[in-house]
Amino acid sequence: MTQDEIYAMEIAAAALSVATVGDAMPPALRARMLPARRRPRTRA
Amino acid sequence: MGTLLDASVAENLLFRVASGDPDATRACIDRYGGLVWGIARRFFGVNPDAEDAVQEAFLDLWRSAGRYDPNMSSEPVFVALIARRRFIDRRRRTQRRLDTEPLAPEAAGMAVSADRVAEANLASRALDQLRPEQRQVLLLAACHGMSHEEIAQATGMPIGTVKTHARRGLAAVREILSLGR
Repeated sequence: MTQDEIYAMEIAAAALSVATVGDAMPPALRARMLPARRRPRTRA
Repeated sequence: MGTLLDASVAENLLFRVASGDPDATRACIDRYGGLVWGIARRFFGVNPDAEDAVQEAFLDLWRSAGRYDPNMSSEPVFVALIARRRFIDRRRRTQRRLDTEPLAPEAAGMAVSADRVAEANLASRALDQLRPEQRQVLLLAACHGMSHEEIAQATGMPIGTVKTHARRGLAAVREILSLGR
């Protein structure tokens, strides 16, 4: 099997994943992955 | 169908990620987090490994974003491709740790390739079993990011027929994949 054929099958598998997967990411995981944003400083 | 298939993605996030835009990484996690998480759950089930695997997959995606070619696949398919490769490699590493005999590096590399081929082959065979119209609709949606309306225009099918093929094609794929595992 050639690399091109393997790649074509991987693309098909990925396409099927896109077509069939629709879960929601857990909020805690999302929060852990997002880069922290600096809060604007507020004067008292 | 999931939202990633319902509408074509107008904005190309991966090019922005590759250029180092921090807002793009955030947007990418928001857009594709559910997809990558869903794939991870199918590989690892309800397991803490799934969360670590998702983080690894996104790190891989940041490194690979510059290689994205819109002529080869849609953005969601590229993201799924990177995630699946990462998960297959991770599952292989985990299984190897459980083995008493560690594999030689070159044998391990071959095993990873074999796993990728086996996984991809399963999906490819599932597509082959679909009716041609169902396969066409699913691939146009998933690989080219086309909406139902765009597929209807491109193929000349009525929009209702496109939706029917998409729905029945997905149901058939799910059934084939569940039988193949």
